[in-house]
Amino acid sequence: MSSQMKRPPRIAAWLMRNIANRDERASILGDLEEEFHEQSENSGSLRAHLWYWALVLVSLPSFVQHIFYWSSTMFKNYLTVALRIIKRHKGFSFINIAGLSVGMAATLIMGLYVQHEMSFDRHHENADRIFRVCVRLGEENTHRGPFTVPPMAAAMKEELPEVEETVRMSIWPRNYLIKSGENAFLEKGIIFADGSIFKVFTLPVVLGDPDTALTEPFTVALSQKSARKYFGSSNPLGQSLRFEDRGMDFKVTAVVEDCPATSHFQYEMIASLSSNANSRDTSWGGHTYFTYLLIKQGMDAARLEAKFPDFVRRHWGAEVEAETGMRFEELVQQDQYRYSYFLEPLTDIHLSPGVEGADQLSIKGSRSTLYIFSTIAAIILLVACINFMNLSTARFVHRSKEVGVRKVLGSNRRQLVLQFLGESGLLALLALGIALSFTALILPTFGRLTQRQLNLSALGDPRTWPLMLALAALVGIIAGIYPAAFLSSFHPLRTIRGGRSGNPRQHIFLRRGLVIFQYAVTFCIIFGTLVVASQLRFLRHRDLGFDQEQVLVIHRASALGKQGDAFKQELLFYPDIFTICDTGTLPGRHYDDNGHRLEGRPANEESPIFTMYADSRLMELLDLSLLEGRNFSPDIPTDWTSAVIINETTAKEWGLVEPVGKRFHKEFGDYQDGDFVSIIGVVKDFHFHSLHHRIQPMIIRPLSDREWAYTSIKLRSRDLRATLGRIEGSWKKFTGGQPFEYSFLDQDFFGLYLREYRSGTIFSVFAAVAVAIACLGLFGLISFTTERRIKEIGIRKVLGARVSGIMYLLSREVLILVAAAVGLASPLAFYFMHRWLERFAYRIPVHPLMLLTTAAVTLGIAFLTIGYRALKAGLTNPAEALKHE
Amino acid sequence: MQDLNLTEEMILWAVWKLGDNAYGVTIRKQLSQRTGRLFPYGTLYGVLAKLTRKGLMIKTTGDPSPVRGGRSRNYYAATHQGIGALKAALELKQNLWDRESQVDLGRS
Repeated sequence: MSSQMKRPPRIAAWLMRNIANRDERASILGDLEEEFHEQSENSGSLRAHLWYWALVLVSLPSFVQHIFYWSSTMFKNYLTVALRIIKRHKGFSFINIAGLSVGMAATLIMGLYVQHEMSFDRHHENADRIFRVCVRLGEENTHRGPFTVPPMAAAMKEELPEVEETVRMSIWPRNYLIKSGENAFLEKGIIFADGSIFKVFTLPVVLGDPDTALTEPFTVALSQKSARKYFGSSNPLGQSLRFEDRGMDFKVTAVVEDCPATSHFQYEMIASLSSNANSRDTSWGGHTYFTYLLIKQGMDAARLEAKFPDFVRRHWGAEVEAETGMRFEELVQQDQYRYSYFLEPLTDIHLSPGVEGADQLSIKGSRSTLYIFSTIAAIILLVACINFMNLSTARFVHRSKEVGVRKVLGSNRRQLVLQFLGESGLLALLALGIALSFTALILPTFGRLTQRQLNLSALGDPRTWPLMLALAALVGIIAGIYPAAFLSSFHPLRTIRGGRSGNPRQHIFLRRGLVIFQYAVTFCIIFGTLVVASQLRFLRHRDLGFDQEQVLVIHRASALGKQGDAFKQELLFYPDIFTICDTGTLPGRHYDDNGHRLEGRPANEESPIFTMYADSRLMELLDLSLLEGRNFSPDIPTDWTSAVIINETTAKEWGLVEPVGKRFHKEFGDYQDGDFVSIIGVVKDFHFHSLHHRIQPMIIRPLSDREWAYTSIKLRSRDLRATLGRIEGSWKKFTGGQPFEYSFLDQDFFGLYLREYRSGTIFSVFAAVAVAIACLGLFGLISFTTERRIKEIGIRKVLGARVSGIMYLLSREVLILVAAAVGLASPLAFYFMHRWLERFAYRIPVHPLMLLTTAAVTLGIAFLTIGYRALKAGLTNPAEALKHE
Repeated sequence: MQDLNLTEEMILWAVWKLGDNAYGVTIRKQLSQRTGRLFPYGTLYGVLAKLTRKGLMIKTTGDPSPVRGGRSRNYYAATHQGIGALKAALELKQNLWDRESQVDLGRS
C-alpha cells in the first residue's frame, strides 16, 4: 500500500494549525506528519489516523494554557479600560446594556417557549414510532382530520404486518359529573381509550396492572391527582366512581402518573373505550375515533401508508358500492378526500394546523406563531445591537487617542479588533446576567398569555449554559464587529495629533443605513399592531347574522332528562326570560358534517353539509329570519322525522331555485324513517363558524334526545345576577342538585379568536419594547451629536439663530432618514399584513390611510425622541457653550 | 541559576543525547524508549521554547522535506549553559541519592 499520498486527518491538522503557537507551528505540524507517515506504514492508515487525532487532542490543553499565559497581562489591561469606559460613560452604557439585556431576555423567553413547543409528546418512549391515522377532508381550510372509523384499528393490527399495536381514543370536550360518595366534581379531562393505550404510550402506571386495567367495560384509570381528589389517601383500586351522565358506575383499576404539560391529549381520567357501545361497531361509516398506531422497529411509515388505499378498498369497498351503486375506484377518483387516509407523526401533532374543533381536549400550538414570535425576539436583539454599533462608532473620538497610543506602542490591528470585540462581549455578558433576572420576572406572565406552563428550570440546567454563553458571544460579535473594525483602522499619527481620523464619510453612511433599518422595523411593527387591533375590533363588532347578546348557554343540559320540560315551563314563567331553546350545538362550536345528496341526483353528487340539531325556538333565540318556507312546528308530527331547514348558502351552492319541498336522500341510517327528508324552509345566512371561515352549507334538523347538549336561554334582564340566581335555583331543583354550568354565547363566540387575541397582545408588548429600544438608541445618538455641536450651536445663537432654527438644524437629518425608512418599509409591511389577514375569510381591507397613520406615528415618535434634546440645545445660553476655551 | 524541573531535565537530556539529530520526532522517541513516557507535542514544544528562551539550547531550521508535508525541521542543540544545567542536575541527584539512602530506600 502506498502511503506516499496519505495526508493526516484534515480537521485535526486544522485544529492544530490554529491553536499551536505561531513560532512552532510549522515544526509541530511537520513532526506530526512525519510520525503519521511512519505510523501508517507500520500499522495501517486507520491506526495512524486515530493516533494523529489522539495526539492532537492530548496536545490541546498545554497550547491553550500557553495562549492564556501570554495574554493574561494584556487581558488585565483591556478589562481595566473596558470597565472604566462603562463607568465613565453612564448614558452610553445604560442604553447599550438596557437594550441588549431586554433583547436577550426576549430571546431567552422565546427560546424557552420554542423549546417547550418542540418538546410536545417527546416524553413517550416510542414517540418516533407512534402515528395518528388521519383522513383528508374536503373543506377549504381544513384538509385533514384525525378521525377514523371504529373497526379500523383492530383490522390494521391484524392485517398490516408493520403495525405492532394500536389504540383508539375518544376525546370529546364535554364535562362529566363524577361522584364518589360525597365528592362530586365536573370533570373536563376524561378520555376514553382502549386498554392498549399503556402499550403504545408511555403512561407510567403507579397502581394496578396496565395489561388488564382498561380491557373491561366500565373501568377507569385515574391520574394521581384525581385519585387524591376522590379518595384522599385511601387505596382507590377497586373503588367505584359514578359517571352521572351515563348513569353508570366505573370501577377504578389503575392509577397513572399525572399528565405532563407537554402531552397533546390531556387527561384526568382514562375510561375504557369498551364502555361505549359504538366501540364494537363494525360499520365503516362514521368517523368517530382517533386511532394511534405503534409501528414496528425499523418499519417505514411511508410504506405503511402506501398500503392504506388497498386496505380501505378491502374493508369498505363492498359497503360503499352497495350503497351508491358505483365502483369504489370511481368514487375514490371523484371524491378523493373521503376515503384517503394518511399518517401523522405523533411529534408533529402539536404544531400541525389541525381542524377547528377536532383537538379540543388538547393543547394546540402553531408553527406560524412560533415563527412570528422568534422573528420579533431576533428583531429586538438586532435593534439593540444596532444601537451599540451606532453609538460606538459615533463616539469614536473618545477612543481614537487610545487607539493611537496602542498602535504606537506596537499593537497590531488584530489585537485592537480583539480588544474591542472583548469589550462588546463583556457588555453582552453583563446584559446576559440582567436578562436572566428579567426572564425570571417576565416568564410567568408570558406563560399565562400563551397558556403554557413554561419552566424556568431549563435556564438553571448546566447543559444550557454553553448556549447562553454562545448567545452572549454572538451578540458581542454582531454588535462589536463593525465598531471594532472601524476603531482599529485609525491612523496612529493623525489620532494623536488630533483632528479627524479614519474615514468618517463611510461610517456615516452605515450609521444612516442602520437608523433607516431601525425605523423601517419600527414602522412595520406599528403597522402590524394597528392592523391586528383593527381586525380584532372588526371581528368583535361584525354583524354575525344572529343576535348573540344576552344568550345564556346551559351546558350538560341533558342532565335534566325527563325534567327538561318542567324546567322550561318554570323558567318561562319569569318575565325576564324571553325564550328557551334546546340544541345539539351552537354557533362557534363543533358541527358534524354529514354527506347529503338531493333526490334524483347520482350517488357521486353527495357532498358534506354541516348539521345543527335544534328545536323550533332556535329562530327566536338567535333572532334568525326565514327567507322562505316555515319553521318546524310541534303540530306537524312528520317534522320530527323528516324535515330540515337549510341556510341560504346551501340553496345557492346547490343551485336550488325553489328549495322548499325538495328532498334529500337520507344517509347512513342517520334519519329515523323514510328514505327522504324534505326542505321546509330557508334561513337567512348567519355565521355559525368563526369569521375565519366563510359561511358554508348547513342544515338545521329537529332535535332528538340523543343530540341534546345545550339549553340556551334568551334573557331580557336588567338584573343579570338575580336572573342567574333564579335559573340556577330551578336547575338545582330539577336535576337534584347537580352543578350548574353555563356561559354566554357572545363570550363563547369571541373565544374563537382568543388565539389571535393572545398573540396580538404578546405581539404588541414585544413591539412596544422593540420600538422603545430603537428610540433609546436614537436618543443616545442625537444626544451625542448635539454635544459635539454645542459650540456650533452657541455661535449660531450669538449670530442670531432662533430656537426653531436650531431644532430644525439638529432634527432635519434624522427626520429625513425616518421618512426614507417609512418609504422603504411600507410595501413590506403592507405585504406581510395582507398575508396575515388572509387567514380570515372576513377581514378588513388594508387601507392606505392606515399606512399614512402609521407613517405619522413613526415620524411623531422619532420627533419626540429627538425633539427634547434639540429643544434643550436650542434653549441653552450660548455663553454656557462658549465660555470655556 | 534556577534548577531544571524533571520534564525540562528529561527533554534537555534527550536533546543533548541526540547530538545533531534532535528534533520533535526523535526527541519524543528517545524519551519514550528511555522513560516509557510519551510527551504530547504541546508539552514538548512548550518546554523546548522555554529552554531555548533561557539559553539552554539553540534552535536551527533544517531543509523542508516531503515526508513532513513540505515543512522543515527545527533542530535543537544543547548550549554550554544547557550542558552545565544537566551536569548540575546530575550532581544534585548524586548528592541526594548517596549510597546510604539508596540502600535505605531499597530496604523499606
